[in-house]
Amino acid sequence: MAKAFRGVHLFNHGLALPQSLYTVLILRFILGVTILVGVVDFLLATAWDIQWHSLIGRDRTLVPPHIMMLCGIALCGLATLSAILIETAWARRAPLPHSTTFAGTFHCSLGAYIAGYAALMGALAFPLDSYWHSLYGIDVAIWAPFHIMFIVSMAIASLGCAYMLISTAHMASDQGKNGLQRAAYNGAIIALATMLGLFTLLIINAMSDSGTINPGFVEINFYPVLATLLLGWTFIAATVAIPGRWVATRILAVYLLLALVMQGFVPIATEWLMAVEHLGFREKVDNPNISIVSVEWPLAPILAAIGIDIIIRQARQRGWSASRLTLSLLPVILLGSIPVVIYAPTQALTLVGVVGVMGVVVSLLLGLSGAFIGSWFGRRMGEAMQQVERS
Amino acid sequence: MSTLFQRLLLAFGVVALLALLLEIGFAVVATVHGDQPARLVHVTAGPYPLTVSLYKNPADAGFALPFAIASDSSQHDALTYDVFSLPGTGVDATPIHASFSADPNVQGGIQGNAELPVGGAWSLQITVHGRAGSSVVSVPITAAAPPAIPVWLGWQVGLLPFYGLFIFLFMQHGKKNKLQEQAV
Repeated sequence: MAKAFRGVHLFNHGLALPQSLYTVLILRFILGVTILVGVVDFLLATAWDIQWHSLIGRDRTLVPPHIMMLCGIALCGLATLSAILIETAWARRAPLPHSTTFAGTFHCSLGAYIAGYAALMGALAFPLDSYWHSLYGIDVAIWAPFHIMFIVSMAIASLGCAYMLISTAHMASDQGKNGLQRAAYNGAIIALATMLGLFTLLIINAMSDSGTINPGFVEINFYPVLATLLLGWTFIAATVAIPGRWVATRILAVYLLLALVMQGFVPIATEWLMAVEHLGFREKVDNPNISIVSVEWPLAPILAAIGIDIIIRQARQRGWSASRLTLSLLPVILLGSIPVVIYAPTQALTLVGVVGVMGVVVSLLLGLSGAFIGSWFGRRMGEAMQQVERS
Repeated sequence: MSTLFQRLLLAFGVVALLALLLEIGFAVVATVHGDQPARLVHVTAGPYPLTVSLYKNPADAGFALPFAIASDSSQHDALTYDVFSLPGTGVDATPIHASFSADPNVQGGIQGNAELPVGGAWSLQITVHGRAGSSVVSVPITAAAPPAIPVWLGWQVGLLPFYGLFIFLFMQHGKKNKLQEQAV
């Protein structure tokens, strides 16, 4: 039977070529890990770039943080292009299960197409961002069109990477390669943590005044709704798609580890580059000797991740209904949206002072709706990931 | 997803890739020194008379400005340089160290590229170190900003990946429904 599920071909007649399929499996795993290296590189480079812009200023177009970001994008783009071309050539010689057909011509993992398009968008965003800066100056906020374009693009590339590695895990499972299956699932966890990290670069801005609006009757802060959308979507999708216990907590652990790596890398790299470029700090700026992004990394998602894992385990053991599970998850996801960061543990109280009690209530209600929508999307995406290119 | 939509997506990808390659081409071409400078400026940095050649006038903001500096003095062998582009008043930018190397065609001269990331008034600050000490001179330059697109259009283009993500997530929902129908 060759079933085309909008391009997903599943062959279960006797055409399997175990040795050949093993080669495809290894190829997909290696290229998936290459994309993963690209997106992690991009996240670290962006943290370095934010530090560079804030302390020194945006100077040359091809300054090392930008080069490092472009290397991450290029690595993703080249790895996905290689995966698509090699698997397409392969599929012309022999049936290739676990693949998705695109435009009636190409064969590859769905994740490779997603990561490829995302890398292309990320690459396009770079000159567009230079254009925007040439019009509006170097101090354009992080919530500027083309900053959002390349950060979201690379977050989507991370999602594509997770899809590709989960598809690899399914292939490995069918071929009885348990070690490779575990490695691919762990890779998917790192990819989802990187996606969470990249989106975090955008949402931390909402903890400041930039995230507050006044529609006339009350001040509303958008951080809770953005955080719950993101946490609900990522954690629920991962717990549905990836087998095993403590999946959300493992994603959270990698997410915190990424912040630690930034803290180790960014201040040293910034000082080195300042010396090489013969540049000094901007006016009224002192060397903080820390990574600006790391210290703004939200900490409340720790509670959300652990809580989600515990609740999902209970639900599976006791056979909870979907509505009971959702109702139990919402407050835990909302808990993850409390603005707590290491340099300002009382950030949430500051926010109460800014928006007032009524503003907090409205912001939390919005956060609750974000948790519902995020977990709804997460459950759907997790189920789709669970089935992706599975024979 | 229909094959027609997939082919449209493919065409969009090809056009986007071509646009990217074109942009890379423009950026590379911008760093190439032309045969003739667009503007020649004779300046004196303390005891050192210099000729500064600018290969684009006005410069394009967001692109490199190729320049060359030649010393008119007899002691040019002993000169070393440091070049910065400095933003003028009201230009939201910071000083930028220019990249340069020895000019193979001019003894004691240098050639390089100055970056002007923001449109407006700038100056090329040249510091000369020689036997007679160090001196600084500035050459005013203008970076012309590209034509501005409306801010709302910028946002629509910038949010394209977001739209793509939402469409993808909704398609995942549709895919799940389809699987359920097949199972029934």
